[in-house]
Amino acid sequence: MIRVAAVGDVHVDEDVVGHYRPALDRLPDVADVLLVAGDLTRHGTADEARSFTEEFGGLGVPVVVVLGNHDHQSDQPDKVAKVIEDAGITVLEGTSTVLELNGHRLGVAGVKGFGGGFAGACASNFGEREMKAFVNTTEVIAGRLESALRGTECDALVALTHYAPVPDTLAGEPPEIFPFLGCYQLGRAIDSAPTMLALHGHAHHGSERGRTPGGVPVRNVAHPVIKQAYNVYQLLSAETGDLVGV
Amino acid sequence: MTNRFEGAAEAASPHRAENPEGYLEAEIQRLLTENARTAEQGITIQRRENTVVLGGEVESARRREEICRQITTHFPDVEILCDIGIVRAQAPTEVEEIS
Repeated sequence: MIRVAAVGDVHVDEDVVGHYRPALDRLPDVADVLLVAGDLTRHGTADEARSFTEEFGGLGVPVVVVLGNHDHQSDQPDKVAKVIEDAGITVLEGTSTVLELNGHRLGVAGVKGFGGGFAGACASNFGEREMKAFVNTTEVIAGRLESALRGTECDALVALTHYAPVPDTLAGEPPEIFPFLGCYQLGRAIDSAPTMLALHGHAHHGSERGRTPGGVPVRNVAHPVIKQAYNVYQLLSAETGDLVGV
Repeated sequence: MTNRFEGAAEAASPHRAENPEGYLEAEIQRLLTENARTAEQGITIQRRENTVVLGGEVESARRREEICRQITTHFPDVEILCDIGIVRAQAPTEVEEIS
């Protein structure tokens, strides 16, 4: 059994430090790892990244994150990532990590992701240079996720993104903005590998549960959606016969 | 990178006078996202004549107050009904089994 805690869109700056900590201090009792699905900061500054590490660092369990669009706002995502990695937190962007937990290997592959839309209402690589650049960005990022997922050997594989891979978990958002909230290419990447669970954020007014066309469970863990410090998901229960429960 | 909402937080702007009524929600939405003092993309804005009803959730009371302050500063004629909540951050009490 592996217990995965997850949250996204925590938007930390000094104003929020201490808000999550009481619940995070209890996390090692209920989960083996924490995944954070982007928008770690408000404006993507190094100072805010330090506030994030103050709040989410030193938990006693591994912490793995991807960046979100807010973490790019100051055009220094590499600096943000370095501050976070220097605090011992793993930052994924087209990469993966494998953690040994309870005798199992948990693989996590992550990218920020990007927009583009979903089947029947998606952007195409056609027309103006700007539109082609937009769709090309989507496809490059999704391609990195596919490579990271397919290249990870483990017992349980999780995809971690900020943008949504399916429209199911956007239910509640205005349909007009779906193309800015996610893209089908991320879902296709997730379906290309034996992914057990896909986690994302970004859609504050979306809903919690969905599935990819290939049947992979998708969970929107944006903080305004889950309305608690983190959710906990249990993987590989059948292998050990463990009971679900905190 | 700067935008038209940066650096103007303290000055009442003529945005409302410059923009026909039908664009007010879009202007407020962009203000709340692009102004560094708010940087909020998750706020809903519903227009009821000269009143806007704000919804959604933010991480702190200070951020909620700043949202209302920025709208009042930039659109002084607009009345605000603020239904923005603060997201709870308690520990979970259950686990979901994924199969």
